[in-house]
Amino acid sequence: MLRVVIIDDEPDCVRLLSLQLKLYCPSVQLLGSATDSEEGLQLIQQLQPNLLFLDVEMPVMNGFQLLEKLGTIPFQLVFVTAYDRFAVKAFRYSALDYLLKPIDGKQLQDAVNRAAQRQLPAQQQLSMLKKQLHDKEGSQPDKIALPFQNGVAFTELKNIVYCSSENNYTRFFTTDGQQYLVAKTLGDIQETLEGRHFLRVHRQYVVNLDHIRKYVRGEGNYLVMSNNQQVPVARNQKERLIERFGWL
Amino acid sequence: MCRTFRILLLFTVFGAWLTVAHAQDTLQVHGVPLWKTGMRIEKYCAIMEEDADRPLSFEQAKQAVFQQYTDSFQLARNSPRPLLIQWIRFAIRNQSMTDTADLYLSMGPHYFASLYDTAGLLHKSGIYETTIEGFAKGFLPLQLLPGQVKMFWLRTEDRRSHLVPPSLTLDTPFTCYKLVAEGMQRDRMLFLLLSMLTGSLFFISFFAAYQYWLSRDSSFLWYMAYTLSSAIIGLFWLDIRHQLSLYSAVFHDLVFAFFLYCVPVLYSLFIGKMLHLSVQFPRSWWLVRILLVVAVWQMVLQFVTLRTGYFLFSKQFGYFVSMAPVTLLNLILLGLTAFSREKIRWFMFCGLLSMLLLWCMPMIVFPKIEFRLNKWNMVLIFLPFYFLLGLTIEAICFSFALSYRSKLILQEKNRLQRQYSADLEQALARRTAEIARQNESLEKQKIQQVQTAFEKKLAESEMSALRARMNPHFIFNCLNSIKLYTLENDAQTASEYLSKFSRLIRRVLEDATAEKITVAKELETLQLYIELEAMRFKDKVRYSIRVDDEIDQDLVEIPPLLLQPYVENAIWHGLMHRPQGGAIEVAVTQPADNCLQVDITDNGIGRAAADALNSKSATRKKSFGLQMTAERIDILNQVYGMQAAVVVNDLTDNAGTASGTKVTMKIPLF
Repeated sequence: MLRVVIIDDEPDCVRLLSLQLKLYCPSVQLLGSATDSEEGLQLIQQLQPNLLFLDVEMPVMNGFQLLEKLGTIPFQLVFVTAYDRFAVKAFRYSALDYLLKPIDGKQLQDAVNRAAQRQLPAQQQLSMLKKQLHDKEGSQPDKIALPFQNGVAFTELKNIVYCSSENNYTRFFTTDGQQYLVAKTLGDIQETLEGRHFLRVHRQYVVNLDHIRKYVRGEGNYLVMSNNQQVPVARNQKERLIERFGWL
Repeated sequence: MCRTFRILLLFTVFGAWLTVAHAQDTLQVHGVPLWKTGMRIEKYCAIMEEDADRPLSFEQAKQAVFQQYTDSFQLARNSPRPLLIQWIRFAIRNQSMTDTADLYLSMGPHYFASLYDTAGLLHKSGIYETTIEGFAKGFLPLQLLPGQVKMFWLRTEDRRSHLVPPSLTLDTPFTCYKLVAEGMQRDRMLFLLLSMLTGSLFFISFFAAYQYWLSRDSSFLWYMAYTLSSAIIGLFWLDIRHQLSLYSAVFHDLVFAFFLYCVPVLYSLFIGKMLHLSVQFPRSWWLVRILLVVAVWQMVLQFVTLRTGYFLFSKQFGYFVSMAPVTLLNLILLGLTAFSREKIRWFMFCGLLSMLLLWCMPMIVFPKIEFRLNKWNMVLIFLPFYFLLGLTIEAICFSFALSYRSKLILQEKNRLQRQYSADLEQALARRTAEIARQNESLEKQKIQQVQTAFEKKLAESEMSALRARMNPHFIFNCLNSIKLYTLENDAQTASEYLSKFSRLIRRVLEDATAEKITVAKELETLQLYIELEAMRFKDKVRYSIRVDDEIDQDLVEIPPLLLQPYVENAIWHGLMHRPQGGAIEVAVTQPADNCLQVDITDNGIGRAAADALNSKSATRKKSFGLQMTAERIDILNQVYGMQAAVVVNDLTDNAGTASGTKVTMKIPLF
C-alpha cells in the first residue's frame, strides 16, 4: 500500500493531483498535502509517507532544498514540474521519476506503479541530481544512473559502449563487460544521450561514437565496437553517421 | 785677259768632260749670284732611275749610266719597288776666285731627298724625313769654294703614284728665304683653315667620346671614331702641306692606307645606326655590309701596296677598284638616308651630300681655277681641303642630327612619361575607385551585418519579450488549473479561466510583434496577467491599477510588454515569499508631455530578502524575464533614440524594515 504526500505551492495543483490519484490510482492512500514547503517538511516527518509528489518550484524553499533539509529519503520520489528543461535533464541522468504538469492520467499510473515496484532512491542518485542542478547551465553531466533489477549502477558516459533495445527495456553494454537492463525504452535513452556523442544508428541500437572501431560496408553495413561487438547500421542512419564523423 | 779666260773655259769644259761620262754642261756661278728668283737647272742635269730589286749605294749609283734629264723621263717609270729612287746629277763651277758660293738646291716636294757630292752625303731632306727640323724641307744647301768645280748627286725617293712634277731650281740664300717667306705668307689661310677644320673634328670627337661614356649609345662611338679618323687625316694633310714633321713614314702610310677608307666605313655605320637602316632596309643594308668589308680589304691592300710597291692592278683599273666601292657605298647610303622614315634623315642626308659634293667638286672646279700665287688660291688648289671641309660639314650636320635625335628622344621620353604618368594616374584613380567601391561595399556589408545582427537581436528580444511575458511555468500552471476545474466539473470557473488565459495569449502574441501599442492595451494585458496569477494563488495576490485621468489611454503609445516582467517579478519575489501574500499597485502618470511614468509598487519582502532566498535556491533564478526586459529597453533606446529608464527603490516602513519594492519606469513618448 502506497502512502502518499503531495507538496505543491499552488492549491490548484494539489487539488488536481489528489483528484487524479483518486481517479487513476485508487489503491494509494493520500495521507496529506501542503502548499508551503515548510509545512510540507513537517508533514513528511509526521506522516512518514512512502511516496512523495514534490513540486520543484516553490517560493521560500523549493523542492530540492526541502529534500536537502530532510537528509535521508526513506520514500519513493516523484518530482512534479510545470516546465524546467534543466531539472528534467537532471532527473533523467539521475534516474529519478518526474511528471510534467498538467499531469496525464496514464503517466501518473505508470509512475505510481514504478514506485510500487522499485527500490528506494539511492543517496547517490540524489547527490547526483543536486550536483547537476548546481552546475552551471549548459554543463554536461559525465555520469548516468542506470536503474536495473538489482539496484542502480552509476556509469560514466564514456564507459558505455552501446545500448540495445529489448522490448520496453534497454540493455547497456559497458567497457568492463557488464550489461545492465534498464526499465526504459531506447527512445528515452536516445533522448537523454543524444547530443553527448551518442547516436542511434539503428532502430535497436544507440552507440557511443567514441567506441566505434570500424565501419564495415557490404551486405548490410555494420560497426565494430571497441568490445568487438558488431552493431548494424540502418541505411537511413548512415548519412547521420557520416555527418557526425565527416568520413566513411 | 780674254785669252786667259778662253783657256780657262776650255780647261773647264775639258775637265767637265773628264769627270762625267756623259756630256753634261757645268753650271757656272760667280760667287753668290744676285738673282731675283731661282735659276732652273734642268738642262744641266742628268738623271738615272734605279731599276734593280735592291736600292743602290751611292758608290754604285755613281757608276751607273745617267741620261740627259727630261720631264717625261722623270715621270714615266716602271720600277717594281714601292718607292721610286731617282738620281739626278749636276756640276757647278764657282767662277769667282774670291767668293764662296753658298747656294740652295730647291727640288720640289719629295718623300725623301738626299744630296751627295763626290765625297758622300751632304744633306737629307724630304716631306717624310722626320729627322730634319726646320721650315725649308724643299731646300738642300750646297757650297762651292772660290774657283771650285763640284759635282752633286740628288737622290729622291717617291711614292710612284704620288710623283709631283719635277722642279729643280738653284737658289741663292736670298731667293731661298724669299720663296720660303712668300710661301708661308701665301699658305697662312690654308694653314688656318686646315687647323680649324682639324681642330673642330678633334673637338667633336672628344665631345662624342664623352657623350658615349655618358650614354653608352654606340651611335656616339661610331661618330667619335669617324670624327677622330677625320681629324687624324686633317693632321696628316697639315703635316704634309706645312711640313710639320709630325708623322713617321710608316704612320703616313697607315693614314693613307687606312684612315681614308676608315672614314666612309665609320660614317656608314654611324648613319646606319642613327637611321636604323639595318632594320628598315635589311636587304640594302646587306649590300652596304658587303661594301664595308670590301673597304676593309682595300685598306689592307692599299697598305700592302704602299709598303711593298706591288701593284695588283694597272693604274687605271687600280683607280677604278679603289674608287668604285666607296662611290657605290656613298650613293647607296645617300639613297637609303633619303628614303629612311626617321625624322632626322634630312640632317644625315645633307651631311652626306655636302661631303660627297665637296669631295667631287675639285674635279669640276679645279680645271677652272687659274693658278695664281695668292692666299686664297693656295686654299682652292689644295685638294684635301675640300675633302676635309666636306668631312667637317658632314660631322656638323651629323652632330645636329644627334642633337635633334636627343630632342626627339627627350620628347618621346616626356611623352612616354606623361603617358606613363597618365596611365599611372588612371590606374591610381581606378584603384582608388575600386578601393572606394570595395570600402563602400564593405561598409554596406558591415552596416548590413550590423543591421542584421541588430534585427536578429531585436527579433530575439521580441521573442524573449514573449517568453518573458509567457513564462512557460505560468502557461503550464494555468493549464493545470483549467484541467483541475474541468475534472472538478466546475465548468463556470474553467471557462472563465480559459477565456482569460486565451485573451492573454492572444494579446501577448499580437503585441509581441507590434512596435508600439496603446497604454490601454498594455494595461489590459497586464491586468489579465495579474488576474490569472491571482486566480492561481487565491488570496495571496491582490492588485490595483490606477491611471491618471489626464492620460488618453487610447492615444498614448508605448513599446509593448515592458511592464509585465516587473509585475511578475513583484509577484514571485515580493508577494509569494510572504505567507499572507500581498498587494501590487500599478500607477500610470504623465509628469511631462513627452514622458510616461509607471510605478509598480509591491508590499512584498523586499529585494534583499528575495535575493537571499534566491541565492539558496537550487533552481535557476527567476530574473530571466527582468534581464531580458532590461536588454530590450537598451535595444529600444538604441532603435528609437529613447531614454527609457528603470529605477528600483526599496521601501521601508517606519521601523526601517523592508516593506516592499517600488519600480519606477520612465518611458519617453513621441
